[in-house]
Amino acid sequence: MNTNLKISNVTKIYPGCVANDNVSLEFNSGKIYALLGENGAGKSTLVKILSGVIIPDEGEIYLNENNLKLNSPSDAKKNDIGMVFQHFNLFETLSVFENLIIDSDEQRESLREKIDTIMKKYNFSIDLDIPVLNLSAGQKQKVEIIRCLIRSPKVLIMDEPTSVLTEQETSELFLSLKKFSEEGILIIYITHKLKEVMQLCDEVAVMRRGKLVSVSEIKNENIESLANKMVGQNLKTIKKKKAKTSSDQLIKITNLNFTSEDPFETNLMDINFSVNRGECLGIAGISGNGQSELFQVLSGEIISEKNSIEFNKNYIGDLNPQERREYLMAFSPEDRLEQAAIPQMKIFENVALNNFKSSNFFNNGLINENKIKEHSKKIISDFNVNTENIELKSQFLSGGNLQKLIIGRELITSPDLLICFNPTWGLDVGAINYIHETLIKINQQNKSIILISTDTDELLKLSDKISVIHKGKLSKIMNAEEVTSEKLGILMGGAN
Amino acid sequence: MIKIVKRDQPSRAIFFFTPVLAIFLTLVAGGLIFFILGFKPFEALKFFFIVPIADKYGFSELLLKATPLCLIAIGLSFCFKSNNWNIGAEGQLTFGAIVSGGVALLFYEQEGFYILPIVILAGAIGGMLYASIPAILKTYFNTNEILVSLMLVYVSKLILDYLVVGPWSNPEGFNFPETRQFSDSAKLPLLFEGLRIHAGIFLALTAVVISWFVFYKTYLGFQMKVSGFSLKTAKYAGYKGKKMIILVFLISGACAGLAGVGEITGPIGQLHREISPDYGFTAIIVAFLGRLHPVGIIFASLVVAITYLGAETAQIFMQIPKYTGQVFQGMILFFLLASDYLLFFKFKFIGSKK
Amino acid sequence: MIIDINFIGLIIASIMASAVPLILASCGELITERSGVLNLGVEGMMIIGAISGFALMTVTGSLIIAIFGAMLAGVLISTIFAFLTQTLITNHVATGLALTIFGIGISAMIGKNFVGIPGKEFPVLFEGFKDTIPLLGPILFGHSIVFYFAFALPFITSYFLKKTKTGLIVRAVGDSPESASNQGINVRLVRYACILYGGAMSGLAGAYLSMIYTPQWIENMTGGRGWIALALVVFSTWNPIKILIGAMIFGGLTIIQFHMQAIGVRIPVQFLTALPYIVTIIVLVVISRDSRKIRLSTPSSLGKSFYKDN
Repeated sequence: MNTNLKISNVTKIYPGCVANDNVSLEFNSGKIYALLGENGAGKSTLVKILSGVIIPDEGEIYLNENNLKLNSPSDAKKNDIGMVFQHFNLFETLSVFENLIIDSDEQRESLREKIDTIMKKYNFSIDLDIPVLNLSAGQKQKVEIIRCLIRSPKVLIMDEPTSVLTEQETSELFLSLKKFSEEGILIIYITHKLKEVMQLCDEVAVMRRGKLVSVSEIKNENIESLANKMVGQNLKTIKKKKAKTSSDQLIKITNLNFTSEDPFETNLMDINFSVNRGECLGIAGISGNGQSELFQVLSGEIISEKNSIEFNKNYIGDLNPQERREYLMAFSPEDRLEQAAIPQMKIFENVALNNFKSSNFFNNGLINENKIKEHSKKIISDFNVNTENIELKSQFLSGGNLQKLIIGRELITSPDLLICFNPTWGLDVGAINYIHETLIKINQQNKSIILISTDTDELLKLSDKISVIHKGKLSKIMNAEEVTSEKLGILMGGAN
Repeated sequence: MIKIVKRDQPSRAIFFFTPVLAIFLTLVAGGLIFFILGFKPFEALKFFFIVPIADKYGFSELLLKATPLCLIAIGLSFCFKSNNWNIGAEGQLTFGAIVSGGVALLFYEQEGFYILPIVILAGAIGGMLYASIPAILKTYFNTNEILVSLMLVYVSKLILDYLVVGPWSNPEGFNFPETRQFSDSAKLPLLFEGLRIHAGIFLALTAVVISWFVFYKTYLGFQMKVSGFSLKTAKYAGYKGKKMIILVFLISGACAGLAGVGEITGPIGQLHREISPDYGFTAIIVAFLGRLHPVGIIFASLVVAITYLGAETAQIFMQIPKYTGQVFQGMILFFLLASDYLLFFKFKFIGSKK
Repeated sequence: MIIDINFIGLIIASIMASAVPLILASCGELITERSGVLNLGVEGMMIIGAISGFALMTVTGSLIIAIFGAMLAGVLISTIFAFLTQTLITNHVATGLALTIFGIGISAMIGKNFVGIPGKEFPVLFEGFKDTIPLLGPILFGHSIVFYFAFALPFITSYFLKKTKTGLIVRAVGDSPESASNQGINVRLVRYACILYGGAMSGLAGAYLSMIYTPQWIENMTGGRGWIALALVVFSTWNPIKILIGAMIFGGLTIIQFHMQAIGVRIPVQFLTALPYIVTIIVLVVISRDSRKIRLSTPSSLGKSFYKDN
């Protein structure tokens, strides 16, 4: 039977932002639809409305002409709408089977059979009796998909599904999605990756700042046309000029190991690499393979053996982040809101988090507020942070401005090495470009960068050398020009 | 129609208004409880909150009770600000009193200007020692400080009990569970003839000033603030987390220990079984009611001290059970926490649509 | 010296009896914590249960009304906690402390008129079988219904969590309230229910103390048992069966203390009384050192508020 899903005049307003502005769309089964937009364009809000997680302020949703009242996720499920979230909705300490049975009304035995059938049909293989926390990201996603398939959905929504997948897993996913579509399931695919849209989808709807910009067939589009629609202006392409390679070694990591007491963390095994001055070393990988632990070990949040890290001819493995800053290292963590900055504190207070000796932020244990404020003003103007007011609480900065503040705070000391972890995660194109330009610039000033990122395109754009982290181990270090995204994909999946 | 919406930013005005609201709501609920118990609510509230402090003596008693509350709450605010849940101040008070009482007994029937400072110092050290147990267990053994500090309260009271009944009991005391009287040099001087208010109040005021300075002017205060918001950020900034945990526990223990000193070297002048009517627990409420702000804590300690006096007065004049004081204290905290809702949410009146 | 084997049976039975309130309160709190809520008000809820049970027994004369009344009182008082932490999104730790302070005050206020009144005898089951089996007889027979319920409770709790759908939902909410909510589970409702259940069990534990164990009302008669119950939950690494073991250890400490005094062991009574508290600390230290295990077994969202913004 044909499935028709209609979104009619949906509006959702949050304080200070219109997430969905009078959006109307229509979908029919048999096709795969892309919902394309930048971070913050409103696509996630729209699909959360479809899955009952968010209730719209205005507007209606019709499935096969029936007006749906989606007040909770259960309503969406009852109406055969399934959704795979970008951040998995799984229970880590529960077993796979428990994760699957929790929203099913079936008996244990019959459900097991059903799951087995589904797994056979789509060539999935997952142990049902181990806790979800032991699964890889790709497997977790499959569990989510199975969870939807159990209910034989009419509509399946995938929210940014490939952000945690390897290249291989991505193509497997695409095969499955095409199969679902042939079987009559209406697929809505949310992404900001243009290549994927061209590869997979039949029709594309583009959103920008909460508004629907266009709906068109893929065959009438190409990557450039979609990019322009998505960003609303001609995309500036940033290209890194090949830097002159120096042989002056800045940091060297030797036989570094880290065994965590926390079962939710990844152990690091035998990490060895070095970075020369003026170089950018990119570290690729699917999230959850030890990136966070590697960042912490490099920043000094996790202390390691003194000799395992040699920086500028000093052994610093046993120093904490503040002490490492004295040696001219700087750090930009992934989590902007819970680690790199404190949203409830004022901008200038957040600047004081990077306290290095020559800053004189604190003299004899006392706060030197004037000095901090002076410094903050300089960061704001040098790094284009869009505010004048350093007394503003940083929660009022947009993600992009906050990240500029953080990068600025770290760079204003002109460090020899910047270590950053997913610096452009969740930002809009303008901010991403700004950050990328900044990173290129510091390389040109003969400063070094270690860029840990899950965004392969970003790595290929910025790195001179690239390595891949998988299950806490680093691959051999490759020159960036020898590397393709396909090759990275293979390594990210764990192959040698 | 009324809709509840999240505020963009916690309201600063409401931050300081909610404690007042909480006190008001407590009075209303208290009146209600009195009514249920068969008393005239307004009369009961008058006996509870006005009569006790209507004269000079009452006011002195108010300050006498507010002093330990303020002192302990100031100490606790160091812990609470930095995300450390020390709820065993009662034990630290008791142990501080034991150590300082022991030292005071060493100087039995001796006089000298140097005795009092030593006795006071001993109390602070006692409190610090006792607070260092949960702190060290938390930092090096990953042990929950709430349960440890709480268990230690019971232990400290039993140690005190053992001492005043056993080895330290007054040889001429007819087996009363109390020690000998301290010499005058080991006692905090009384401030006015005929009133019980003693020099301990200056200890509390000094603590207020110092804590204000530390919180808002020093690197330590800044680090505590950051740790209170996010331990991950504190780690990233390179603050020495373990050192700070131990430091705030020590400060808090010292304050509680000093409060203990005040209790035994003030008007009473000896160790006995019940040196504190749960000041250490009540001070938790004082710290929250005062918004962990030194000046706020002064006001909060006065308000909460009234509940102690009120309970006594109401018991004498109206036969209202004295535990009503504790009921009021619990209610203040309930209402304070509840009215914090207004910090983050507001009620929005929406005109009916069409 | 010949030791009567039945005497050993009696000692074991008395250890079990003193473990009962701990088992009840811990199993209740365990369910609450498994849903991600840390309720530090166990002591307060227990003492409310103790006075309610005793007062209702004295006033109505009905043991059944008294027992269920005590549980209801636990539910009512925990409703305050549930409303504050779940509806008004207050801090769990502070709210729990307020609950304990409030509970102790209210219980003493109500209890003023019940001090010194003798309790009632609580009927025991299978009295006649006590002498039929040596050693096991006194252990197995001649106890109150609450006693038997308490020793069944860890197994029921374990079955509930592992085998039932509702138990699965409780665990899921404790693991990730966000995911649960996105799956259509009403997190607030589940947590309310778990808090209220914890209140009922604490109330029952209190009633056991004032009606069965030492049938009288004494101010503050819970004497820190609520806190020990909280510690037991950590000790058990959130596994109900291990609560049984922990509660027996603490019951044993309490009973041994009486017998040591009776035999005339020259240790100050205060030291013996302090033993359970000191042992609690030691046990906590030993358990917590294995941070990996603690991390794996602690409900991931324990003590964290959950707020869903539509």
